[in-house]
Amino acid sequence: MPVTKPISAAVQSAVSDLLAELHSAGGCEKIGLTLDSFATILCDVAAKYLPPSAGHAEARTFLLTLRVEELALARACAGGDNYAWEIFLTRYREKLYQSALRIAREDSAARDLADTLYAELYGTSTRDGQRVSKLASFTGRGSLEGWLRTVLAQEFVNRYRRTKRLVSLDEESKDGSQFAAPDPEPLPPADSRLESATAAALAALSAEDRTVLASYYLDGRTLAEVARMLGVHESTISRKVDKLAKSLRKKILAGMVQQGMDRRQAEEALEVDVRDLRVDIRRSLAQESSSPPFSKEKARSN
Amino acid sequence: MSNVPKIVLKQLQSRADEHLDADLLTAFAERSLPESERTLVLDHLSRCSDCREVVALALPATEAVNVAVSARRPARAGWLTMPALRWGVVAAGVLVVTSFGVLQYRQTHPGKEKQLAAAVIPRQPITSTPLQIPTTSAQTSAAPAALPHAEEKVQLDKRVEARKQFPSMFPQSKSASDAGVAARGALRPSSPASRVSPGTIAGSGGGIASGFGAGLGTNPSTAVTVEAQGGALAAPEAQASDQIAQNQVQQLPLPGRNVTDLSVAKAKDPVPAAAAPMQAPSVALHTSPSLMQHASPRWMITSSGGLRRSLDAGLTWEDVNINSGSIGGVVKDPSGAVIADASVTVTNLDTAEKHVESSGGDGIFNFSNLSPGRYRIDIEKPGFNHFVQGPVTLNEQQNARLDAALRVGQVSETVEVAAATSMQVETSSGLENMKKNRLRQENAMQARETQKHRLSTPNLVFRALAATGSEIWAGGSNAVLYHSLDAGAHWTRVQPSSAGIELTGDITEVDFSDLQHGKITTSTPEVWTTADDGHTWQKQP
Repeated sequence: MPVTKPISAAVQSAVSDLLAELHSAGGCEKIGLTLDSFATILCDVAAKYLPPSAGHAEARTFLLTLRVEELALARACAGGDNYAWEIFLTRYREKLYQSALRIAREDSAARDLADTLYAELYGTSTRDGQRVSKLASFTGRGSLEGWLRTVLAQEFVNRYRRTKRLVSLDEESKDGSQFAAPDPEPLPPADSRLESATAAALAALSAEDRTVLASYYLDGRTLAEVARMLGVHESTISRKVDKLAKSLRKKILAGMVQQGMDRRQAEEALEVDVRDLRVDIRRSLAQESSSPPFSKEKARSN
Repeated sequence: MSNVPKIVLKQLQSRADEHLDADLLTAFAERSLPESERTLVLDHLSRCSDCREVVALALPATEAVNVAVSARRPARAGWLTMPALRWGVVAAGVLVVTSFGVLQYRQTHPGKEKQLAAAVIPRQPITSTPLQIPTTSAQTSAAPAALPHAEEKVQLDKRVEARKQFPSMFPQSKSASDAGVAARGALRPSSPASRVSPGTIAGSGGGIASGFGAGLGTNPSTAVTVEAQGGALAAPEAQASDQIAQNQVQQLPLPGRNVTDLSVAKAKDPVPAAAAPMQAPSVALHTSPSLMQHASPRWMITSSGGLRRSLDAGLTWEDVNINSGSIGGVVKDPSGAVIADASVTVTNLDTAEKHVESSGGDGIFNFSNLSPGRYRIDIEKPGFNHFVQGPVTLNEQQNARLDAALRVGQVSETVEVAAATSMQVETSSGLENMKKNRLRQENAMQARETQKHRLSTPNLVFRALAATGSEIWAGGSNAVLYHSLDAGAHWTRVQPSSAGIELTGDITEVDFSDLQHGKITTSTPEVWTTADDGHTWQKQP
């Protein structure tokens, strides 16, 4: 991995502080990583993620949270060390196929997916005449196993997008809006205010809340899936979704009133509750979770 | 006017600039990002459906998540949280304490033993046999009646008598320490061992002594020597159960929740029954340092298949050597009084690795987690001669004991003790002190065992683990499967087999959904399951 950012002095001193310790903790000796080359790797990683203003202590904490052992292994593999590859294959070969199968849900596609990744890990692409392995981009922020799964998932999503593009262009153009009710009418003028109120209400939410909303309403994931993505308990997400839907409506309403609409007008603009998002989504995704108050709303909106 | 949903959706959809790299997404999903970065990732995720998709797809299999969650949160299996059971545990603890009290009392009033025991624990077949400890180093009590090998002849009359009375409940106790060691107590649950050795004790119905062993002695570090063994235990299983008994013994003196865990875990029917008497006047329990205070260590497997443990939620990691042994003992002065604060250094002669510890207020030192090899022990204390002993060979899983008697003098003077004169080496099963016929038989077993270890040791490559609280299962290449109930202080090798077929091949996944139910996947691929915490295994078709 080429040095893309200048390496700050703080990072350099933290790396030289911890180098010996991390070098032995990572078992670098056995897999042919010298102190110098490992120092370069650590500097690159730190420079990539730390803000240039980061101090010595910050850099130190950062380095200590890295998974040095897996980082060393990945980089040694990228460097073509045979022993490292042996370890890598023993540890991850089967897991890789298993993960691919879980992602692609179908044997031949899974094999194809895993084989593509293998090719990339070995390094089929070249840069300046040098073989470049994808493992060289692993930085040890998370586990190597998780990284492999993520890379597989990225590859899978890329492919999915590509094939979909090949299949139908208008489907692509409609992508995302397929969940909303078909509505060819141009938006009435009042909508600019509604739109800005909605934007403001959404922007006021925390990033996590927005992610929850998007995953749940937009992607149609189950509460359990959303919970696992965020690493929290399902019931937490369930409460959160309910609360968010309610507060969003209130906020949009307040936002429109603030922009000069009178109360009644605003209510009218909001005639369709924001919470009805769920209704549309449910129709196409057969989402299992339902709550009584919403079914009433559904009847009204139909 | 149903535009609002559409507007919200559109807002939510606003395209993200550039996709996040796999490293950040992985770290996000594993919750190892600092808060500031996590917010940045969330911000991106809220705008980028592709990355959300990637995160969702890359989630590990559900079982693995359960393991991870349980490893992060110390919450124990659900049933322990039920108040009734927790109180049951407390009650069991009280019973244990009461039993000790009874033992103490009986010791001073020998004539009343029987009545007392009967009064405390009615309706239980009780074995209470006073063991006279000879002045020689050790003795062995009776083998259970159900043992296929007839070594009863050699037993003391008293015990034979007792055994006749209560054939299936006779406890076996042995001591491997030197003269001073005396008392021990063995409290046993009346039901078959519920949670001890996986695999090897399969189906022995008649009450293997698992359960409670408690060692008391002049020399606290010898607490390990108490072992309990029950009636229907078949001879080949003896070694395994010895080992387990030891594990339990070491755990017992620890305070708080660990004891609770242990007692619940061990006793399905928590009525401790028989107890052996105590002889030693001084009661000093050996408190093992380290592990058990930390409720839930974190575990990881290194890329070379080694096992690492973190006791401080991931800040520092230490290698765990499953075949490690320990060296412990007491430092005394010529009069036999213990010496506190003596500096004890254990040096591995093969690697020159040094461990230094001071003896505690009771003169005890203990070095655990030592890899097998040759060691030298140095003890220094101002006012006494420098004590050196070695080389001492420490085998796999061996607990060596060294009682050092320092001589008054200058530190600069060195007293060298030839190897293995006063060094009492006590293997996990305490074989040295068995009667001769038994000794031969078990030696052969030990040889087999060692060979098994030798076969597996060079390539001890772990590939999967499952941890719940302080219990951990680790599986790896060549059907290696180890189990520890005490956060890795002691390990038992488990060889799953069912209907004569043994598990072979590499273990790639180990999942335990709760304390009892586990699943192992091998590379072959085979799936083995257990519903009783590894006692018996079933191969799935």
